[in-house]
Amino acid sequence: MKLMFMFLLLMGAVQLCAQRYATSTAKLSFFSASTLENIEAVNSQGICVIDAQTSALEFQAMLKGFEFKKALMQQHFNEDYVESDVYPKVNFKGKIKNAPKLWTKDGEYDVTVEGQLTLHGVTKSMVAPGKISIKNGVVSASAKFDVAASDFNIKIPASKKNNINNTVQVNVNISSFKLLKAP
Amino acid sequence: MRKRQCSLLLNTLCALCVLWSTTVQGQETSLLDGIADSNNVVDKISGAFKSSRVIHAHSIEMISKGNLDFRILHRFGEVSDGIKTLFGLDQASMRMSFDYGISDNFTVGFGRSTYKKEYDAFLKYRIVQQSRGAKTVPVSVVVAAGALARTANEFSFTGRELSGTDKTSFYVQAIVGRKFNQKFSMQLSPMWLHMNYVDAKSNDNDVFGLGGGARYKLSKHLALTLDYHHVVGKRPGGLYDPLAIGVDIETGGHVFQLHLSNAVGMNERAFLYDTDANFLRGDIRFGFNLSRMFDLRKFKR
Repeated sequence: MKLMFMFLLLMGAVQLCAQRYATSTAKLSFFSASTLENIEAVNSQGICVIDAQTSALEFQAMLKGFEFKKALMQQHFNEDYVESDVYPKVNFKGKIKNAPKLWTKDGEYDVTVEGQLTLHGVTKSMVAPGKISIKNGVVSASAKFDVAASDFNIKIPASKKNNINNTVQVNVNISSFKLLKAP
Repeated sequence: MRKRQCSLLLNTLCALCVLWSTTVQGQETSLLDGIADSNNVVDKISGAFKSSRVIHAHSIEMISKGNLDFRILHRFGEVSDGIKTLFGLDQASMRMSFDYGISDNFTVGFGRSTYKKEYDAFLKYRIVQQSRGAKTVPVSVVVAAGALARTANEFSFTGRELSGTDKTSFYVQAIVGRKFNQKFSMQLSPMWLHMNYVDAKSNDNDVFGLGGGARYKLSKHLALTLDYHHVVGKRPGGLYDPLAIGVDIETGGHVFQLHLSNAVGMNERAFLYDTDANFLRGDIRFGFNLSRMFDLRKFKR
């Protein structure tokens, strides 16, 4: 009985300090190619947290943190398209399929991330291929996927169809995660 | 008996322990809790106005770092002149200017008006920017200062030719403004204008302009604007407060500001001191400001 009690207590403790990997310098970039101009932007202040035990993943970035080639593009992106005063952030909440079983073991892992992407007040299910690599105990990750502006109720006016492509390629790059202590 | 009590106690403890650990886990709705709090980020509010000018006056908007705003301004003749002058379009007064963003909070500008062949230059600095989140600042506060010099020949009413110094003026301005919501923004801008020479002893060398500007967005690319200055100080007779009502149309790199106003001048001295038409009596001119933005920065990846 005592042994069982100890065991349960231990389980509780383990559950409480589930290993979480986190970063606040995730690099999020997107690229849209169109006939007149290419639009690209980078945000290197993305926040990403992975729960190693449940393989749950959450990602968040402030839309105003995207830096564009031209200041005007940045203004238009925030004011006219994503409306960042009203919807300040982009958020992804999901799970990593075939995640590494041991996050301490070196290796490269091809994974699939499945979850809900919330942008401009719209939440959509999505699946994206990604890569997790562990080298000398340092966890890094990357993912690449396409987002259609129209899926998120972001309208591109007819007069801008040659400047802005509806489909935007998104790249996520995380050079190193930090192992979080139990909260 | 004692042993049984003890195990009962243990059982309860175990149950509580499991319950506790599950509830704690259940409460954790987001992995980001305690890590990403949107209140930890300073969310700067920008885009209160489409352009760095409301219509005549400086707005609380700045030119972004490394950007050059090339502006061409026109004020036509009075609409009431009728079809003979195509409602004033025959006569145009023009100002051309270059405004440059040294940093996101510091803009310098240089311009020349055909009216009285006047040059003007200004410095504009944003002291605080409206923000929310980690730091709540209700308004943006901007200061601007400029110097103006007329180069057309001018004579005093005694017949003396005015010197360059005589034809030089200065202004200092504070602008306090707020973007109230996505559509509505407003600003107040008191201004002090000093002219080295005015034509009569009874007129003041220093006059004050109490400016007010507002914009209301009709759609993403179209906005209504209002620009008014109440002038305090003794001016020659027949001068009125400058008032302008317009629309801002934004098309990518250009902003067109089309408006109706009673002012012929397009710099601070000229619209405060040389507005000789009465808007309310219908002495209105058509005018436009055209702004073309050039981004001179190199993109760093």
